[in-house]
Amino acid sequence: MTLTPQIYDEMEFRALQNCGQAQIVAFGSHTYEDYSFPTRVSDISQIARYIDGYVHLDYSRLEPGQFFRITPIQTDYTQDEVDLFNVVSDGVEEITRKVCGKPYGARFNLCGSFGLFRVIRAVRKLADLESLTIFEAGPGTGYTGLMAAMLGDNYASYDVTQGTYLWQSLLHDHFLEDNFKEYAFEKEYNIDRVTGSCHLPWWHFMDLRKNAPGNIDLVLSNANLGEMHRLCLKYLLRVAKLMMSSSPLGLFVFGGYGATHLGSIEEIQNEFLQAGYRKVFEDRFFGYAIDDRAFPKDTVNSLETEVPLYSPGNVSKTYGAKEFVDLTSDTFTDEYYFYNYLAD
Amino acid sequence: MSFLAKPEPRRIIMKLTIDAYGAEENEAIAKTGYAEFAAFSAKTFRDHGFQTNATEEFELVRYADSVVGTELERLSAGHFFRGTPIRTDYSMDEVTMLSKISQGVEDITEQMCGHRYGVFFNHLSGVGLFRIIQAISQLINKESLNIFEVGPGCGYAGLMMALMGHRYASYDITQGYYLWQNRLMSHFLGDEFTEFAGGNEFGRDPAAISRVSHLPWWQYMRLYRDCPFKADVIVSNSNLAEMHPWSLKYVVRLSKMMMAESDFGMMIFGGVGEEHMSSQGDVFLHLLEAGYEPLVKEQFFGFSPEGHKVTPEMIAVLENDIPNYDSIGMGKSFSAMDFLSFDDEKMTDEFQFYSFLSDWPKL
Repeated sequence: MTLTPQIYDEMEFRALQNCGQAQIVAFGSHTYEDYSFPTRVSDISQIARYIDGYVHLDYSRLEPGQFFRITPIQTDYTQDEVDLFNVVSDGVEEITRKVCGKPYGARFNLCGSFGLFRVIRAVRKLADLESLTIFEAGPGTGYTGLMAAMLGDNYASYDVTQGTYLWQSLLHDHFLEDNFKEYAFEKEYNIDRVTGSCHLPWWHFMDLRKNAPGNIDLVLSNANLGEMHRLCLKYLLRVAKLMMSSSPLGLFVFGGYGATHLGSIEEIQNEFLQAGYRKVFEDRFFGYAIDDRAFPKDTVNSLETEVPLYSPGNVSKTYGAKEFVDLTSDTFTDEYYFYNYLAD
Repeated sequence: MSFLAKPEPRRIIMKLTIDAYGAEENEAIAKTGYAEFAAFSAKTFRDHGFQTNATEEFELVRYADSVVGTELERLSAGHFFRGTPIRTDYSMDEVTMLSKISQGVEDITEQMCGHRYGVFFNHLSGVGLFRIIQAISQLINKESLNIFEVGPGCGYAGLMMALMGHRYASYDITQGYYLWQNRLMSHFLGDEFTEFAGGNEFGRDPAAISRVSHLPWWQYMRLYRDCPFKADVIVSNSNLAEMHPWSLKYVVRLSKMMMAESDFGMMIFGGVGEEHMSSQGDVFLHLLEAGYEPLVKEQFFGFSPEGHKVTPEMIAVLENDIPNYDSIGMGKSFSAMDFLSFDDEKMTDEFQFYSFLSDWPKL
């Protein structure tokens, strides 16, 4: 069953009616709105807007040998990663062909998503766990979590923005089918333990403090901590601790803070400390651990030096994005051409 | 006059519906020009992501209390919070009044949504302005002051003033707060309260104005033409810097008109609110340009129009500690923790949410 804008809007409206000011303020898309980004669709065919990101796109991301901290991505890709890229990209075209009447491809954001995907794989390996259970706050285009879920990790996420939320729902539903549970349809949620892929609207996430799943190993929240309202940040950090309460890992990961529009870096760092975290990783990505969790020094040193590429096939050859990203076919949105024009 | 001698609160009169307010507001908006529209919009609230409107009655619970930004120190004795402005020690008279208000809020919310929700913070803050009004009343030996309040918010300060027998009128621009104020005043003041939204025009006859009046912004906006409201004190707390500069200019000018015949005449506020539309300095400048004189600044801000009758002796009294309302001279004071009952059942989900993210202990 597809989550339509009408169903989402109706459920959100009902939820909002029961919220107080603190909750409404906490879960608003303030930064997007302040920057004039469209946050909503009225028809699912408009969803192509949320499959990729072009604004502030740096073309050097397509060249090999670069490192972009915010994603955080090393722009060399293994054959396994290229294969995974192609699977996801083809799926995105299938989805958009179905809902937009024309296939649109995922390129730049999908490439960037390998950054945190690699971190997840590396942490999983170093922690010697067969799979991780991940919670992501604000997945945006949703590719990092999708790839983790496709490769066997349990995954749950929430988002405050209607447009990106609907896209994430389409994406995960397409790839994960029965292994995906969309909670925006439900009046109540029930996730004592996260298994498979779960998608929570903000109004259910807001209630997680009452009944948080305790089996989350790793929380992702990339490029958005500086964009969320302070009340939301405080809530996220505390509920994340509850969710990781029974995990031996208990790590909160992000590459960058996003636009520091609603909170400065210093303020966010202080919020982590106040909520009972300590900084463990900072060179290649940021990783804050719950205070009482131990991280062996060699584990830390290893990931602080380099996050390995994903290469289960052990093929050492790598590619620059230009070698496998299709930049010629007519699967771009009009937005891409517009931005391309004004960015020369 | 003692609050304790007041009759029991009356049953809530639900004459102003959400739909009636909306229809009349839409009609008013249709007739406004840009200047009026900009002046009377709830822009600061919206810019901060606050919900300004309710669509169904049960949502009005949202406007009964405010937890965002609340510090738990407000619940213990011996603190002074300038913005409200409240010293957190309460007399027995104040405790009695607060408890009665709290009970009334539970009654109102039960009618609204079938659940008894309490008020835990905002009524405490209301005591700050209420004490100042009582101090002025005593100072000028006038038992019933004429008070006009701009933007009462949750409405408790004004309610306390009205319960003490003062003539009180107010206006607000935010639909949610306005409707909540209507429920609150209707419940406690019954027939002594007149709601002017919903088709009730006050005309030009001051005698026709009841002891407690509530005006929608579109009627307040027209008062400059012929204002039947007289005021000894204008209360405009935590909002002067949040309102559009045109609204600010209008408020200070209209307030002067209202206070023109007063034996006293002072606009009072603890703080200017969030400095979103103006800075505190801008607000003071507007007041000076409109012909006000800054007279009081220590415990609260007091600005009086030129030609006021506030004496240096009065100012000296008001600059000192504002006394608690203690009609029987009991002397003993209490902290909020002594008399508030933090029953989980009576807390809104918002309260619990905010408590969680603020690491509050179990209250």
